[in-house]
Amino acid sequence: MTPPTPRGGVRFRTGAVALTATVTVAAGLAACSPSGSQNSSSGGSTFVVARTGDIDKLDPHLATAFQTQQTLGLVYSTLVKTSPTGQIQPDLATKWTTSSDGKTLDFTLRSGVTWQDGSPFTSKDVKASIERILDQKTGAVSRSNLVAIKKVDAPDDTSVVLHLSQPSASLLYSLTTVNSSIESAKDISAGTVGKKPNGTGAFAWNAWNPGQQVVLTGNAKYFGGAPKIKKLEFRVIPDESSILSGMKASAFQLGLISDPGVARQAGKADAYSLVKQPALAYHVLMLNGRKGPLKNQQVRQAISCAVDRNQVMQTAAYGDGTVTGPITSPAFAYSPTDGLPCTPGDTAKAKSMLAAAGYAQGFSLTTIVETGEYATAGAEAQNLQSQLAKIGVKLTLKQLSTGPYVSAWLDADYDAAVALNGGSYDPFLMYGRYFTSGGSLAKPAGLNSSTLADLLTQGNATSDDGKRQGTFRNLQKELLTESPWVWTFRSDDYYLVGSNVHGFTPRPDELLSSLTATS
Amino acid sequence: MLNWRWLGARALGALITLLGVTVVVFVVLRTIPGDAITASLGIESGTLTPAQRASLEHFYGIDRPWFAQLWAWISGVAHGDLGLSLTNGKSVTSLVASSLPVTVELAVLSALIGTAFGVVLGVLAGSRPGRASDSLTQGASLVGLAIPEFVLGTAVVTILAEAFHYFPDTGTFVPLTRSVSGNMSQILYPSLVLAVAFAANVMRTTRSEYVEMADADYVRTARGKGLSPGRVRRSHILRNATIPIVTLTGIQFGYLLGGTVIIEQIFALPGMGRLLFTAISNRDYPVVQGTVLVIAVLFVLVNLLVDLLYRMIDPRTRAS
Repeated sequence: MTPPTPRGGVRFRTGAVALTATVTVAAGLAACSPSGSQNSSSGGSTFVVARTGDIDKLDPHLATAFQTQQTLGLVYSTLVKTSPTGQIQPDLATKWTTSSDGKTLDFTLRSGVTWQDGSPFTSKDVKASIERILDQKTGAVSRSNLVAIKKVDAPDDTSVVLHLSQPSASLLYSLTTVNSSIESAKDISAGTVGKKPNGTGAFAWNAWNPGQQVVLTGNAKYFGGAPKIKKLEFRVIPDESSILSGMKASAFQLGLISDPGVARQAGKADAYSLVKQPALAYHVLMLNGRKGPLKNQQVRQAISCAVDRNQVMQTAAYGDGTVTGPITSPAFAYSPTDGLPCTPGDTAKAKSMLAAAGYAQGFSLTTIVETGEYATAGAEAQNLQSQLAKIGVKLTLKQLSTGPYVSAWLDADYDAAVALNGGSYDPFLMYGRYFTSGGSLAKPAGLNSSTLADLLTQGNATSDDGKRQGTFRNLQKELLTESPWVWTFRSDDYYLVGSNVHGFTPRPDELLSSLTATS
Repeated sequence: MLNWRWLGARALGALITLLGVTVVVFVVLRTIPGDAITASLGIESGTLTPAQRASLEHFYGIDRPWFAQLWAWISGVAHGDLGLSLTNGKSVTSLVASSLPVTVELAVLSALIGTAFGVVLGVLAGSRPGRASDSLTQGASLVGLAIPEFVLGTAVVTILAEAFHYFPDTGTFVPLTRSVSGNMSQILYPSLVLAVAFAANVMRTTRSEYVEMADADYVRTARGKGLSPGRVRRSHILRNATIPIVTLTGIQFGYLLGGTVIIEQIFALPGMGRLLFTAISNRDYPVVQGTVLVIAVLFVLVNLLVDLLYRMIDPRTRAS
């Protein structure tokens, strides 16, 4: 017999209903509250850019996170800058000449430029900035790219002369990066760089609330013309699905996402449009050519031949992107397969090449995969594993978070590595540090090749565009022939652009410089 | 009456626990491959010259032996100084001070909503065991326990955006003291999501305790004496069912203080979970150590509070 229980269920049901009603009303009121509703539109006071990460530093010479580069790139200027297609354009320097021996660069600077603290910009700022980058104590990221500079002269307020130890065509490209930003000589000598950014760019520093947002204000005195956006806020929304929801609710004017899965969900909407921009960065399976069977070029070629790049891209990125060869610089676009002894994805040919190399039974490769840093790593690794299994090459996947992955890679403690590498507008900057003798990342790159080193050196030694094109075309071909790595695809970056936003144009290098002309 | 010897023993135990947590976190952080330089520069750290690396190691304070770093940190903590963030140079105390209220408020509100719903629904189910309302409530609690927070959180955000073109405010955090409505627009929805599993747990415990107590001899006696059903429920059933509910609530509340990271990510709330998550990614040792220490202190305090509540609710525990 069921024991009798106290009655009163009706009253408790009433209580439950009242409780539910209270919470529902509160939720409704929260949704209706002014601060809970949306930010101003682009026509209002604040233009909000939503992205998953925060900046990590205030010193552009030390910035590596792309969020930091995107932000500080709007606050600081450089001597020269690149167009979206990679052409060198004036920035703080209006013109420049290179001596006939290629060892002297003479820059004429813009006059009338002021720092955001009101002091005038002069050549002393350029000299102090470059010398700061070259000073080993700074730990500057771009030092290795500017190391050809042996002396900086500032003969007058609007002239700067760079004396080089050897010709370097890539130097101008190196000077366009945020890591080569020009800082105020006064801030450098006072040791205040990295505390409160003070640049000459289109936006002035306003506030940083770590983990939440960075606020910039339009610089009315910007030499390129005052931006239409008066107040620019970078807001940290760690979850890309939340960025998408926020865009649907018109809470942000611009949303930056990288996950192809989220981009696929975005579809079409009244509140925004989805813009896809192929990035300079490229996806790659790096092979350690100093280990085991991978020392054999024919083995590396067989692996390269076995991989259908399009299949990797379709599987990992829902087909968003472009199958690529080694060089992704827009001005140096060459065939992604010329140099390979096969058509990629030709498993039969790959197997016969492995057999010819003495590895008919295949072998195993410990493959490191970075987790958490970019969305497609796991899917790429699994697809490569499945494709290479067809020729008897077994990828043993070792999933690592960023720190352990980077440590293993820098120690060359891997057979193969699934990676997303940054690209550049200049081919030498893409591969010089990997494949030149003494290159700073030659050890983890996994292959010594005098042919590659010579081609890179030749390409960097001349400013003649015709010669550079020929040399870098050969470089791409040689990279595919020697197959130190298997290049797969360039993924797309995704931009959710609010329907009331005008003038925003994404760039392959992911910088947001077009915000200076956005309204 | 408070037993000072008991309290002293608990305080000593808490101090040992906190010291243990500090040392474990310190050691574990340094056994993970990579350091602040690798975390900050990624593969670019491989391009550094030895002189550049030495300069950066000094900048990040990782050029000293680990025991010197540990001693320096513990000494700082003893003086109320949790150190400076390696990433942004701000004091860890200020970072914790700005994120702690967010997490505490989130946890308190979730616990309040979860407990209120859990107890009411638990009593509703327990007072009519085997009936439709019981089955329905138990089924709902199972669903509440089974749905992962990230799924529920994402679903709430998506539905709000799709159906109502609303997105919870993600701007600068608005403290409750400045604006109730502004604060609620940021906190209420994530609290509701967290409250679902909380309520489900409380509901299940309440129901089982209620059913068990309702069958006890003293309840039958009370009913036989002619007490009203409401009085029987309040004074004889619920009061005796309270101890397991308080225990459960305390434990769950403790976990909420350190375990809201996913919800803070989805709703972009600048709380302790996000601070810790970001600091671990950046190998920002002082922030990780400071944040974990504060979470551990809160956990210990909540446990102490629960023990004190036992003694208030059930006089029998004072004797032990």
